[in-house]
Amino acid sequence: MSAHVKINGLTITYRDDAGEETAAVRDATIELARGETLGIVGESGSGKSTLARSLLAHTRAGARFATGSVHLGDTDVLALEGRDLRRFRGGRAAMVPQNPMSSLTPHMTIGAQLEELVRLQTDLTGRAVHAHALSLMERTGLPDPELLARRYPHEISGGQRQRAVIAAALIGKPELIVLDEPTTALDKTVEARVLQLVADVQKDLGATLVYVSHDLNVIRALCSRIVVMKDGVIIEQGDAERIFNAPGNAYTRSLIHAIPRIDVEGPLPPAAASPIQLEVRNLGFSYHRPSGFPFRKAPATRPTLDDISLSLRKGETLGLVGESGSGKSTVASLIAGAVSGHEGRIILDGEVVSGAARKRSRDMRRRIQMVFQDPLSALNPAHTVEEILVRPLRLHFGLSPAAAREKAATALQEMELGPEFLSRRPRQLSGGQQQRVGFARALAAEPDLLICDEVTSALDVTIQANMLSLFLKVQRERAMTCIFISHDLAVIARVSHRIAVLEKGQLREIGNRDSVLHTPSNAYTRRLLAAAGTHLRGGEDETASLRIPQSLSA
Amino acid sequence: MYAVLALIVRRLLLSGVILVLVSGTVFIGTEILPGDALDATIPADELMYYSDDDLARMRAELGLDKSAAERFVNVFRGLVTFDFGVTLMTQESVIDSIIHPLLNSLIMASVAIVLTPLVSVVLGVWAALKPGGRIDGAVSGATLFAYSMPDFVVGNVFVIVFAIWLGLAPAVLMITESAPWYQILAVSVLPVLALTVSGVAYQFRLLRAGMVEALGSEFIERARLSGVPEWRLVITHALPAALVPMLNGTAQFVAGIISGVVVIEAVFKFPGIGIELIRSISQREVPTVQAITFLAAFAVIASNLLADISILALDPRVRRARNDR
Repeated sequence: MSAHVKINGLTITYRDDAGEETAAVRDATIELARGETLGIVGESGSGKSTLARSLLAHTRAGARFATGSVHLGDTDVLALEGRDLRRFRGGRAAMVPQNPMSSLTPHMTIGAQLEELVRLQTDLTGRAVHAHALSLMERTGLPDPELLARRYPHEISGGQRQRAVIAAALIGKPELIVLDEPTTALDKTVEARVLQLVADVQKDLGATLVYVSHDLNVIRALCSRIVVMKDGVIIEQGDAERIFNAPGNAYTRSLIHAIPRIDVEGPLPPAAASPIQLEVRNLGFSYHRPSGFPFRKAPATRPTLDDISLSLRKGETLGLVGESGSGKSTVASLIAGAVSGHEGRIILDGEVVSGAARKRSRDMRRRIQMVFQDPLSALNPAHTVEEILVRPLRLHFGLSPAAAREKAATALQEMELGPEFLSRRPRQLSGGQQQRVGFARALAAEPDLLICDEVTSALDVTIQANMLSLFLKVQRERAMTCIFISHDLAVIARVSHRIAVLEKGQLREIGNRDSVLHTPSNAYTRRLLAAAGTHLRGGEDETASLRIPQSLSA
Repeated sequence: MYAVLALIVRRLLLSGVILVLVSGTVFIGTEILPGDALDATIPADELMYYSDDDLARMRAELGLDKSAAERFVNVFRGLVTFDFGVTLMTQESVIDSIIHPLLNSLIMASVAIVLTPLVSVVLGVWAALKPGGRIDGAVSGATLFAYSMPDFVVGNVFVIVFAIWLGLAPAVLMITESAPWYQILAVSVLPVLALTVSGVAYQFRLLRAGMVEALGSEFIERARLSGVPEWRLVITHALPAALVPMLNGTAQFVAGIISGVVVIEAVFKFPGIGIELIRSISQREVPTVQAITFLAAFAVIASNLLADISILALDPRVRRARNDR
């Protein structure tokens, strides 16, 4: 039997800033039979998306196909041109890109964008075009297609947008579907449902599927074969279960090992009977929407946070988990004083903390520190690491420049960065190094409470694993009180002593780590756990191509 | 719809505030000019025939003896009701004396205002089809050159090339203020071209930047990978997104064209409001100066409002942003 998809000795090069030709993908060879599901995994910069795009004969600006070929059936894909290429793209091969927000044209309604493609890829005309678009929206599980078709992309949720993009991909009944990290921007429970849809669609069409992701859990749930890429080279490929159970390559092993798992061991318990350090009582918050008219305040909308009460003992890490819009970051902003105007009370060591950071004493500002998701936007790009670290030290402790510099080096040391980093600027550092500097700056202030807001979400898995180990070490050594916020339950499980679950601004559940993870009392917590554990159990039913619990596919 | 209405109402209120400030500024501006209308209109050798009493009497007739605050209230009341009063010297209605030049300038400026974005869009789309290509290079280079040239240089170059070397048009327009509109339109060709040059240069650059950004975006990539033909990508997917920054530039251009009109009219001796403004300033014809500047400010505010509404029409995100949270 001849291969359905065949990539042969493909090298894709691009011109870098210096004008040098560099290979983004080097000598890649892949063969897939019809209906097979292939997962391409790798960390950022591994060339996995570049390789996937080549299946539609596409490169981003500046890149080109240097050598090798891509075949779909008998078609030499890279040789297609003009009208043939357009019929091929969206017809025989379809692409679902990563970010559903930016991959739909913002000024066109969902319906208009689907109908445009229906006209291009089918022979339908007139009313039938609209009807076909609606039927596709129904097929992908979009509620009330008639209404949604009139909406603009920013007016529907992320999951709905991705469903619309998938609906667009189905129009030509493609025999090859390429998905480039289609669920990375989505919440876990939404991700599970979109994956289910992808699996259904693939089975319906009998299409060959290529799925690009940095998330091995997702790949494992969906794919029968795996390609592992690093620095543009395929370092391992083969049967998915074999690679997961017995990876043949050290890098693959480290990737699999770095997957955050919900069944990991948690941190060591804090010293017994330590005093309560932070108490939050009946915290509430609403954003006021601008009314549109001057001098008139609009009525408050649904509260962003509603009656949240929690407390933390010294040396304890509270994991705050929830999906986008749950209000978890608002809790962080309120405690850190970045947003003011809350109801209820925030009490640190028996002292009521006022809302806005500006109204807090300098010492209170020192005692509560925060680390952010995107270190690059939280660190001043014009400053060196030394300037970034020395400034708070001098401000909070009035140190002399020399003493502050020494202390800055110590702070870096604690984050396992050498003193040579002092003279660098944020842009010269990798994502992981930037985040370490973010931590060093917060820790240099010797805070009583450290708030970490999605601090590892932007990092690759292996770097995330290192970062989490480092966090655990420092937290334990300093017996620091922390609030650790994440959408990823596996990350929360790794670092937290206690876990709080937020949904729609309400505290659904709070309790000891083990009781929340193993005996959740709330239905929403159970759903989160099911979505996070989706890819870990499984194996019981070998006939099912996807191990996603039925409860989620609704 | 409610949000759009609210936005427009708010902009209108804001426009009112701006107009009040503008009329204040205009009044102060004319107040600090040295001398008053009387000094400016009576030649020095005639001045010796008048006694101080005569001058005081004439000042009183013209209302020049009242306090600045009192005069401002009067002027302001007139401006906001579009009653611009009478000229100081000839005592004819200000509106009657400026209506012809005003209409002439309006004809010329409207042609330039309509023409400029059209030319910019055509050039911008053409250049953005192949960024860095030969067409892009030529158009980008030419517009950068044109953008760096002041209006009076462009105007004079046009006079030299088209009127003196090629003899295609008269160097100095000999046409009366009250000529019919088609004659005005006919002589407007060179002034309009001169006005358009810098406007096109600026708006082309905005549109090209917007087009290049839009064409490199993920939504274009997705549409391209779905088999949408290139011309559709450009016209229906990229262009509306790129028009938004250009329209902001267009509003600015309309503001700029009003000062451009003064310069260009002086170069071509076009019988418009710019020439009228220069004349009335030199004669200290304060009510006329006030009327013209007030109307100019009014035009700028109106055009900005129009640009904002066009942006609302083009970008659904702005339209409904207020309903989001």
